[in-house]
Amino acid sequence: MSSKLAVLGIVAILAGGCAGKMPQTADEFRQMAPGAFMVQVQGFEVKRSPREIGETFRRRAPECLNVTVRTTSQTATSYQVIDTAYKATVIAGSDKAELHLQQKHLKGVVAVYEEPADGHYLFVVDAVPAGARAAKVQIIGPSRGYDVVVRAIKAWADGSSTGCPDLTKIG
Amino acid sequence: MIRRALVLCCAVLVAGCGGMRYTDVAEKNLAIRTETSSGSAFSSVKAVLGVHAVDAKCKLTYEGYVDLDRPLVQVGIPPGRLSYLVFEFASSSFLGGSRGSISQETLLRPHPGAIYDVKVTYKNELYEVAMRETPRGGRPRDIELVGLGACKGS
Repeated sequence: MSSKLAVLGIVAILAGGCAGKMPQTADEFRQMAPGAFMVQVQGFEVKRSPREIGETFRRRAPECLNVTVRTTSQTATSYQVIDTAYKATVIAGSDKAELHLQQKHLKGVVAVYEEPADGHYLFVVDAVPAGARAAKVQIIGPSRGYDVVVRAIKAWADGSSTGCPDLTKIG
Repeated sequence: MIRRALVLCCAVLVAGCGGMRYTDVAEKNLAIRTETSSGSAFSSVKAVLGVHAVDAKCKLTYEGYVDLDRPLVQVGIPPGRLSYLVFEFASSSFLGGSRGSISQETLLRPHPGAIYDVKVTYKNELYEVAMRETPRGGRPRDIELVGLGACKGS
C-alpha cells in the first residue's frame, strides 16, 4: 500500500509541474506533462479512423471511467481507505478524437496544489488521422501504476476490447 | 487483537453487502455466464450480483446477492417490476492484504416471458457486463446498461 500511496502522491505532485502550478486544462497538461518526471508519452497507430475511435470512447469512457473507487489496505498496524473519483471527457469529431481523464481524491490523499474542479488531469489521449481509415494515437499519462487504464484505452482505440479497466488496480 | 478483530469485522460487513442471499422467483429469466481471472497466482477475483427492488420513487430496497461462482448461473428476477442489478467484482491480494471492488450496474424491468443472457467477464483487469434480451418468440437484441440516474420517480 505504501507503494500505491507513493505513486498517487508522486503523480499528484508531478501533475503540478516544477513551477508548482497544476495544469487546469487538457491543453496545459499536453504542454506541461511531456518531459516531466514519471510522465510518459506513448504513440502508436491503429487501423481505425479517429471517428470510430471517438465513437468507442464516447460509448465506453463515461460508463467505465466516471466512477468513484474505494480501495482499502490493511496491515498489522494500519487500515487505510482511499476514495477516488474519476471523470472522463470525450471530444469526438470526424478528424480527431480526444479522451481526458481527471482524478480527484475524496478521502485518504491530500491535494498539494489547487486542482481543477473535477480533479487533476491524469491522462490526455488524442487520435488523429494517419492515412485511410487509420489513426495515430497519443497517450500522455503516468509512466507507472496506471497500466490497466493504458491497456483499456489501447484496446478501445484498436477495437480489440470494450472492457472497462478495474480502477482498483491502480497504483 | 481487539482492534484487528473489529477491523476484520467491518471489512466483512462491507464486502458482504449485508450478507443476505437473494431469493429469486421460480421463472429463471436471467442466464448469467461468468468468466473471471485475476491473472495472478497471488490474487483472486470474485463476481457477485446484488439485486435491489426499485419502487415508484426510485428508492432501492436490497433483496440479496447471488454468487457468480459458476460458469452459468440462472436467476429469476420478477418480470414487469423494475430491479436494479449490481454486478460487483471483488478482488483481493494474498500478499499485500489489499482489497478492492468495482461494479457495473443496470436498471432492468424484465418483460414477461423474455430471457436475458448476461455475459460477465473479468480478465486481464478489464471487466465487462453485456446483456442480450430475447423476447418470447422474438429475436435477440443487445440492450444497453442503464444507470440508476435514468430512473424517473413518480
